[in-house]
Amino acid sequence: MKKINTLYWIFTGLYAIVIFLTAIPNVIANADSVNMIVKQMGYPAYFVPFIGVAKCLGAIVLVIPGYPRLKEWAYAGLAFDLVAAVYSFISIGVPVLEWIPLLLFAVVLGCSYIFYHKRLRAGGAPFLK
Amino acid sequence: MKIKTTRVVYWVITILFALLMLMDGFGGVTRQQAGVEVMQHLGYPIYALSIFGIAKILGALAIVQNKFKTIKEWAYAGFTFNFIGAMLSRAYSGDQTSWILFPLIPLAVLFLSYYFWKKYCALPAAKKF
Repeated sequence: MKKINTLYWIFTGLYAIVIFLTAIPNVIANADSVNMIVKQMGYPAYFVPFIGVAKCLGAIVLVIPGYPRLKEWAYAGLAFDLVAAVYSFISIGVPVLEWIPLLLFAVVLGCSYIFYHKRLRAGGAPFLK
Repeated sequence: MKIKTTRVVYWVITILFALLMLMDGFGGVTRQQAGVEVMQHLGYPIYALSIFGIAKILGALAIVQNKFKTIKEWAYAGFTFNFIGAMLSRAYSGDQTSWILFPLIPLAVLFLSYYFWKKYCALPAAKKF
């Protein structure tokens, strides 16, 4: 159980940090994120703080204790965000080497999810009723 | 509520919702003019139609099956995020209130389906179909 807990917090903490580092520039709509999301990817300007806030909320839900349904939905949302980001990068012709780090994020998120469920089961909690 | 009523209401609402999303999804993937115009109006890139379209088709398939619970839970999450995103995009684009609030209708149908799914899950195995 201790090992599961440790690994859960390493992956979850790591992912939350990555999200905050990448989402806070979106929330404040700094020049770099506007350039990437609006000018290059073609999304509307209002989408930049919107996706930033959504990602931050997701990361907060992952690190606060409890709320199994909300957590499940946050994992879903963060996963959809990654998939849509990769699809968008491919659509605008960004070279593979530039978006491949997103797959690394996906692995960290996946590990966090796996250990989240191991932890739930170890604690005797069933899947969402 | 009677078992039979729960079962019938669950399937009717869920199938109705899935069919609507399938049609909407196919419209997006095949880049129907109506969808293209919405994307242009809201300021999204046209390739986003494929992201939403594929997601809606997969989501519709996910909610009409009962074998994979996690995938179904994630599909409900995804549809919810989609409709909330749609409302916010309408609001940011300065649309009139009726357009902003319109996604509340599919969202309400979705939540009804979700509510009855949870009730359906609690039915004894022999009473499900």
